[in-house]
Amino acid sequence: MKKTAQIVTIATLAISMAACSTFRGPRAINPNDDSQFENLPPAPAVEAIPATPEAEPNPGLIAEAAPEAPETGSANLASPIEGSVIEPQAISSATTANTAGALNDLLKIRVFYFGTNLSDITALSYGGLNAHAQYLKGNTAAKLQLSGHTDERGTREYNLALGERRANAVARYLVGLGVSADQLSVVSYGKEKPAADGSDEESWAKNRRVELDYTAQ
Amino acid sequence: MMLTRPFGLLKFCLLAWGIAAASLANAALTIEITQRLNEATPIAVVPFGGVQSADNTGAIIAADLDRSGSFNVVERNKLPSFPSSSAEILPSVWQSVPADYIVVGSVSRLPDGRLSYRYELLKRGGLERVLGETFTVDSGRARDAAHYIADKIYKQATGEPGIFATKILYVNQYNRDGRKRYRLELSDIDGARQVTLLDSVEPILSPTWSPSARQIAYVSFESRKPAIFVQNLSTRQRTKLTDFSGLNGAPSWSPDGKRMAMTLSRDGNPELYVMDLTTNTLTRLTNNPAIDTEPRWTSDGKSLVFTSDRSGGPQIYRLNIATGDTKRLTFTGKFNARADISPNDRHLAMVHQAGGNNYTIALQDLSNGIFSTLTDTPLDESPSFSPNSKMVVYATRKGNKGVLGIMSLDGRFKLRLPAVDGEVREPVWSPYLR
Repeated sequence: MKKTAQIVTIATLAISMAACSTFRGPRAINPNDDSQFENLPPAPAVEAIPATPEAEPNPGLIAEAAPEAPETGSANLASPIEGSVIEPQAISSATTANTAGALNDLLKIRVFYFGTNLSDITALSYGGLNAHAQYLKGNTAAKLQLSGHTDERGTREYNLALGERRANAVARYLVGLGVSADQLSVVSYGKEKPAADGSDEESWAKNRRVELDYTAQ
Repeated sequence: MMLTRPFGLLKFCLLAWGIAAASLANAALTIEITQRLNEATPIAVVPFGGVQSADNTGAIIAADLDRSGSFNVVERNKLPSFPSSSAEILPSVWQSVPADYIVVGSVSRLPDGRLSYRYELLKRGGLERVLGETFTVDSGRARDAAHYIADKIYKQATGEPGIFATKILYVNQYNRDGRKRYRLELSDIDGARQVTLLDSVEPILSPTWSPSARQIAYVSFESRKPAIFVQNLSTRQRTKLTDFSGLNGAPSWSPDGKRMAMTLSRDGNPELYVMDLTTNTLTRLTNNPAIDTEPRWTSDGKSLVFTSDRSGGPQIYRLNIATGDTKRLTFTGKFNARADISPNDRHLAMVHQAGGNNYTIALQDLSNGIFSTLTDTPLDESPSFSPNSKMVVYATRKGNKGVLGIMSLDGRFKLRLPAVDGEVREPVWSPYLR
């Protein structure tokens, strides 16, 4: 028994190490290291969730106010961050009407942000991305375009590639949650379509993003 | 010294340039000299005699020589007289003019409409002629004739070929009805004769010249994703060269004009490819999970310098196309990208992160590895060498607006070229126009 347990442990470690090295998506959160959250837009105040339930997300809702309120909190609704290896969180299928309302609010989040030169999905993004994954899995006719963007620093072609890396990272995360890849398309605009025009940290943080655009509901 | 010589070669190259003088003249570039050499050679340029554009010829030559940084042109009101030939110079009067050289000349219009030019380059005092020539050009080519003369004078006085007849290709971003729009534009190196080659609501990037200067290539987002286009400059005809899934970017013509290097991410991540332009076959050159992009050819056509972040952040590498051997070239700082290699293969110019958030243009001497920063402005990009390898045009900012800058390699001479309408960026210097 002990030997089996050892083998299982080693195998699990090996698999998770291999997964971590090739899968450039969510990685282990070190609760003591704040550098992974460097250069992100400021965390918003948590807002009360309005009571009106919606049947489906309105694809016309782009989160234009998003930079001031990019995510509704940093905790995934299904379970809080424990400080151990975070795996893509499957959303429980036992949703109540309240949770459905909360879900629809998460679906309104259409922009996700990144650290400088990074394409790692941050913990701030899980709530919103998990909601989109759930929606896409439940609506197989829905199609989502992911567009990757960078801030203005650095060269144009390199930034086109970095923007694509970010959009691909989001796509891989969604596929990892079970979304079918043919519901997703990826494009990069590099630094060509900034959301904010300033040349300061705040503007740059708002530009390092992937935008979600439903081309079919 | 031979004086009379018909100039057929100039006529040929001028005929090949079928670009109309009239254009959508909204975004002309202006020029501001921001720093000048102290040891510039003083030169007197006398307004040309004759009937056709007499003032313009002398004025264009004077402006070219002045803006090269190598000459200080004597002010017109300090010239004692306006001779059109050495025969009309009174040495007793001209001896005291503080100029190492004197330029005199005249233009006349032939019965068939062509322009006939005659010019002489004389030494101080006007007694000794070092250069002189006559030639004709087609009607409407007065600017080209003036630039030709300026190039000859520059070469005679400095020993280096001049670049006054070259052009720059660049992107202009402007606003119409609250929307951003983009134009791909071409102009003379002095900002004149600006021509719009493409006008789009979607971004245009990475313009580049063919070695013959008869075609250009660029990346356009007009189909809502990046695709590489080739455009013929005389017919204006456009061809979509690549439209693979993912990135299609950073086109760069081989020196023999037969191949195009580019970046494609069709195989999963951005890699370098070379396309044979006769057969349209693609060869993949890199195989690495890193971003590999922004290729430029060495002048022997055997290697590419390019940007790769395989070591953790962008640096410049050189790849031997035949063997696949890749060597890292830059080791200064944590960010070096978008290199251009000088036509004499001696220098790299690149975008370098010089501490903090400053992205400047830096040079690396490939013969000895010495690295130096060329500019000190914080958001510079897209350096491009002049065909005589002596100057670099690049994109920079003045306030919040994108403008172009030109600097000599020793950093002592600087020009700024702001646009009249909107912002300009992504400049690329033409080859010599033959």
